[in-house]
Amino acid sequence: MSLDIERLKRLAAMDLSPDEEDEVARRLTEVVKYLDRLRSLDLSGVEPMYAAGYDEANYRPDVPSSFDPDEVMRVVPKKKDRYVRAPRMV
Amino acid sequence: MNTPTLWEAVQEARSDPGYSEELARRLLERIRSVDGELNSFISVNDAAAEQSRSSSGREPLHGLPIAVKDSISTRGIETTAGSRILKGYVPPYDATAVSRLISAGAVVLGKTNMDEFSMGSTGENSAFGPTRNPWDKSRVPGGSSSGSGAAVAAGLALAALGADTGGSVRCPASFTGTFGLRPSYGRVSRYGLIAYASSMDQIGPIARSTRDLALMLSIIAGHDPMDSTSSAAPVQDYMAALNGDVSGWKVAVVKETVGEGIDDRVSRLFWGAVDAISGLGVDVDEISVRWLDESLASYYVVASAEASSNLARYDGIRYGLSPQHSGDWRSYFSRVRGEGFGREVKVRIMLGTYALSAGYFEELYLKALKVRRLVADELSAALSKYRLLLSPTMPTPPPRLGEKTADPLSMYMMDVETIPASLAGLPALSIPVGTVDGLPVGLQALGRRMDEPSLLTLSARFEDEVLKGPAPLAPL
Repeated sequence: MSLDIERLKRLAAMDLSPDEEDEVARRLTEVVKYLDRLRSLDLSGVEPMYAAGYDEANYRPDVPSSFDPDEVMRVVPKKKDRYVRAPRMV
Repeated sequence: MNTPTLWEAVQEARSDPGYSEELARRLLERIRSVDGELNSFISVNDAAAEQSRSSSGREPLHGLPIAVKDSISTRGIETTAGSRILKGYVPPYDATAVSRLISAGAVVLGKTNMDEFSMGSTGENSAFGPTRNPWDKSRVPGGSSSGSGAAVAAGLALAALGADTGGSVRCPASFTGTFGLRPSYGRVSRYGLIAYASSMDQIGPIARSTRDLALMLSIIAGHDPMDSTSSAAPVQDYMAALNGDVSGWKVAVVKETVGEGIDDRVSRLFWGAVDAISGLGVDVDEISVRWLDESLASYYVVASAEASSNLARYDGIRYGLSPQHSGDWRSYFSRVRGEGFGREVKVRIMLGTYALSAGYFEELYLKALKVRRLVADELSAALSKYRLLLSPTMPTPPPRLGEKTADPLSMYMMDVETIPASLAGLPALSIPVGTVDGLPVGLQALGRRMDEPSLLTLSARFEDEVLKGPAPLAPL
């Protein structure tokens, strides 16, 4: 068991303040140590269960919905005309 | 003011056209006068009384006000999931459960406080401050649907919607002395529910009587084309289940749920309730169910893995918190998420990221899913012999504020009784069975898939014959 906090921060896209980093690392280490009990189990031959209790997928017809784009755009914090403003990529 | 149960209010409203509006007005006043201390609401719909008046009065709920957990989308009413990252977000649509309640004549009274993104068992992880237990304000009301439990117990709402991933309806029901139902996975549409762990999330009602749970479930249950995981199985007659008989039923107490780690006072009340159930003519056995000890670890791996994926959408671009920062896309995301999420959410996202990352996926995530299979198979085998399985809902009475927050494992352990039903997608109902030292305790009944009627029948008989009526209001 090893916790590479820098790698996890990068993968999760999550900044942590220096104070917070110590606290989050402590909590994560404690929880991961507890979860280690799963590693020692021999579960060969057992099928993983991804979802519980629905046997059939009830797909709706693939038709455009009637959502009003103007109403959806109302919740966008930064926009220009009908475009979402995002930070520069480069 | 003595707040009625939802069913009592329905009866009054049926004969008095002005009743719903007057009741909504009284509840809004009561929220204003006592919720400062409880903090059970994040936002209150000041127009609720007016909206009650404009109800036609012909629908089953007659314009009566219902509280809604803040992770359930409400058109035109701020919905934050208890998080700073969604502060100010006003959804452009209603969740299906909400639109069905509104179609049935209900009015949204307000949005109830909760652990951020449903991550917590105490109600202390909200960005809007902790909720307090109306039975003892130095104690937590349970989470994550903390505000829904506290508001109903305090008589600030007739009934409330909560949402249950690992026990988030049942835990606050137990800690606030109310009834809470987690329906079978797929029974209630998740459309519009802000996702935590999609394979387990389920909307369910909290109320002061079994009849109120049945009424709420009758309205919100059923297939929804907007949620491909919602079941097409026909909705049963939940109101008829209230008149069912339990004599001759075979149920079982699961030994693993009443052993080590269970508070003695909870044990005593639990076994007293089991004796009372036996007195209703029910055969009660004790059985053993394997793999329950591993279910907690399985749950926290699976839920965190799904959360790390579901919460990737909060990036400060499309809605919610959107601070000014320079930098490239990734550094912007990271800063927004660092500012917007609370500590417990960060821990769980990073835990899920860890479990899904190269080198740990097979050792942790796949193994957790295999344990989930074993737990579900064991419960299914037990439920092929017994109609219901019984356990305490929570291992302890409600702890004091701050008692669990510094120690994540200690908080996760609180969910040990409620998690198996979540992993297996089974329905479970928490029944209030009394108080110890003035603090409520609940009994959990766990049933077969889609057998909500049996849960409601047992709960109704217990309420009528043992409690002799609906759950009392907390002595505020």
